[in-house]
Amino acid sequence: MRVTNRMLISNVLTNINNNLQHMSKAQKQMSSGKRVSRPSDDPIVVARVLSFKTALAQQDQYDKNMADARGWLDASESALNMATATLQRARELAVYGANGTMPEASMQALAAEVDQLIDELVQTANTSYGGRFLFGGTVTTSAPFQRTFEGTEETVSYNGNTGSLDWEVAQGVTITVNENGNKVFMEAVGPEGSKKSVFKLLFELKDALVGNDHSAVGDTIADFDQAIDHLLNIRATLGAKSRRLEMAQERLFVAKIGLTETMSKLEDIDLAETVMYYKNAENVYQAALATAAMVLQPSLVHYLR
Amino acid sequence: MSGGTFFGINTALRGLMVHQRALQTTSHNVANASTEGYTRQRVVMVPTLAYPVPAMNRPGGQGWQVGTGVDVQEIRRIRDEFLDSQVRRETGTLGRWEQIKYVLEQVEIVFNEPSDTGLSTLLSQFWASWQELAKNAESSPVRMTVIETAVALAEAFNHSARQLENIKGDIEDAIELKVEEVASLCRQIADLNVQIKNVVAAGDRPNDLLDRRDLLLDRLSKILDFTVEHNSDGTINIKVGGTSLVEGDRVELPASWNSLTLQVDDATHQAKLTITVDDTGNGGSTSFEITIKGGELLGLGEAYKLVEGYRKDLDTLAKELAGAVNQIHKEGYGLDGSSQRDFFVPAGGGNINAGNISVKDELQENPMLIAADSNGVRIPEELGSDAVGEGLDPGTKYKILVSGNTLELQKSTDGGTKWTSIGSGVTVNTWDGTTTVTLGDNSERITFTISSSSPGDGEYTVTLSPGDGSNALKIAQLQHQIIQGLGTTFDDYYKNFTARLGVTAHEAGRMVVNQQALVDQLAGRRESISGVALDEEMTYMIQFQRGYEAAARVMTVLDEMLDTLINRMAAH
Repeated sequence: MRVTNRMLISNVLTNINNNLQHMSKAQKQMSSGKRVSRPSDDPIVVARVLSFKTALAQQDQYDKNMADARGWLDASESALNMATATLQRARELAVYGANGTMPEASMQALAAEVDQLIDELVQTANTSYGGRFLFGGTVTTSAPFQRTFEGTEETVSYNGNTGSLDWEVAQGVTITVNENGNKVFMEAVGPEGSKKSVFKLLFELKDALVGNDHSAVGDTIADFDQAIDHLLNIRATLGAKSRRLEMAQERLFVAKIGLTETMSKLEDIDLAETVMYYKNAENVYQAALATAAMVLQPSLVHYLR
Repeated sequence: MSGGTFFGINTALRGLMVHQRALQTTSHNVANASTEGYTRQRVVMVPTLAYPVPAMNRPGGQGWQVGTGVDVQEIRRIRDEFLDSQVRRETGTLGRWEQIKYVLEQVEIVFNEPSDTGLSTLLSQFWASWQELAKNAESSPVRMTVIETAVALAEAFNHSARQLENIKGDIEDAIELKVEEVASLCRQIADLNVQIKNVVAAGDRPNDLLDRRDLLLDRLSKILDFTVEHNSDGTINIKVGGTSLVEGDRVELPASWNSLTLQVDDATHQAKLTITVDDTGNGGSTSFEITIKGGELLGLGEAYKLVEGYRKDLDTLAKELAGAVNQIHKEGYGLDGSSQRDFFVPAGGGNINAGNISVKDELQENPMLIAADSNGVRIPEELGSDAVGEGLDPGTKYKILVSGNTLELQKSTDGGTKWTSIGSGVTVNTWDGTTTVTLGDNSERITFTISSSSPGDGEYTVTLSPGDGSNALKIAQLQHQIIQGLGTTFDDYYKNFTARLGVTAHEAGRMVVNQQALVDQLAGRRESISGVALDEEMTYMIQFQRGYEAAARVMTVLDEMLDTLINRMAAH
């Protein structure tokens, strides 16, 4: 094959340009730290990276949802813990008051304390978490319980609703984070179908104490036991939910590490390998330049005189 | 017996002249060693007719013939025309893929994946914002976040759509320029045809003109595919898909280009592009159709079609997203108790697409209207059902006062201590369970279907559900739903779209590299045949120089011989 001067020059140019391109690619990878910077670099890797990114974003969101749900559940649980303590104190007072030897003045003092306990329980039932009322159903912006007089009768009314707050903690899995105030406090005591509120129970105790009626006071004790059991059951449910979420979060954490690692393997460069590749490309480039300098110079013109 | 006294002088003269001509050609080759498209030329030397010529009747008897020297038969271009057609075909394919690659590189920049600012990330953020709203439905900052995220997503759609339209516009411009370039090349070729025809008519070889014409054909071959017909007068015709662009010295193409219509026919597996050039503005009245099956023009047409497809995919994604979100959003209630409101709307009307998708202004101004709630206003069962409110404030308490058959809406802004009436009382005549009543005034009102039995006198608490995010959750859960119009989930649809773009762009890049290698190889072979090798020319130069010197020496010898004959033979 004949070799012409233009062929030599164009070969040299093509090779130098190719080597520069290799260097440029390695430089881009080294400076960005990523193997792929656009879909055409490696369509399959990019598609997988996008999937992983979406999955990671989802898991982050579920992780946040679970953390928030646990916060809400734990806050509810601790509020119910306080409510239980209040009811236990009221039960103690009922036990004292049921004793027939208790003088009337002492009965009035017990009644005064029960009155305080009612306020305390209303306050507990109106516990808010992050500015939101825990026990108002979906009415989270205004206090659900209100102590009022209706005519001569004293009551605590419930202004919330029976709505539930359902949050997604895994794909398609929702968890109800709120315990409804109506169920917790308003339908706590008594036979199925005609349940009464814990507040009504306290008012009954107070009225019995004020009326110095030892046997009526004694009658409330069984109801207090039932109310306390009722709260304990709900607390147990809340605790179980919180623990379930804690375990799910731990599982998610492990899964996230796995996802992140796999994505990094797909997406990130092996620096040592890329540097080697770059140095190799640089060497080849320099060799191409040196070769060009040698090949392009000699010609018969130089030797003819 | 000899050929005469002065016979050899003429032979020597021919030798001088021919070698001078050969040296001249070598000089021309060396001078054009770097000229693009130049074909090396070689002087073809032939001995002139011997003396005497064979004949029945010739002088001096038989048994001898004296050569009369040398002449130039032709100055030949050293070229392989088969290689030309190969180079041109492959150059056309290269041009086609280069254009596709170039356009797809731009499209890849538009979508900017994988990155933290691409649509993929924005979609994830969009779903996450609805999840947050599902948890914090009463929160104004969270509602703001939903709006901001949705606006960012809509703007990303708008931006991408606009960019794709820009790319389409650029392609149209590029096609127009390429068509003009074709016209210009055709005019130049026709001009060269005229010159070549004149030279050929005079019996000469227009080597350099042929080189220039071949070079123009090479350039033309990158833009479109064509066939060449050679005429006996040295001119050529150029045909594209059965349409003549050049017929000898005539350019068949209209001189100016007023409009282009672009059709890519991909029904047949063979892609083809039909460009219609309207010549009406130039005095002509017919349109001129060229069907192209290769080259940059076809590549541009195919790229246009691809970009159009990406735009359609993007439109489908935006339309389905808006449709699905709107459908659920309309079923929900804002914090004011209102319902039946779209979330996404088309800016400027029409159907929603990637170019016009935007978040409803009303929601941007008041994020409290986002329908996160699936229940809205709740009224006690005794009063009725299906309550819808409008303009209600979640921070305010509402109740309905029943007195006989009269219903009245009241509100309290201080937590239930002081109550004021909204609007006037409404009297219900028949409680049949189908009639709807509206309580309140124009700015704050509740509409509901009354129950079938009249409720007792008293106050009935109306509750809003500011903390209910169940409708927001339904929207967030769209992320995992298979959308009928897409056949998959939103995320997967976009991921597949990106993968498809990646594969096509990757394929185009690979084709360009391979095709470039093929063209380089063929061009190398052509250069190997037609290119000027300086060493070779130097060698020939010495040969012709020595040939010239030798011929001159013959002339000197003859001169000395005649000197002997004429001057030394005189009597002393």
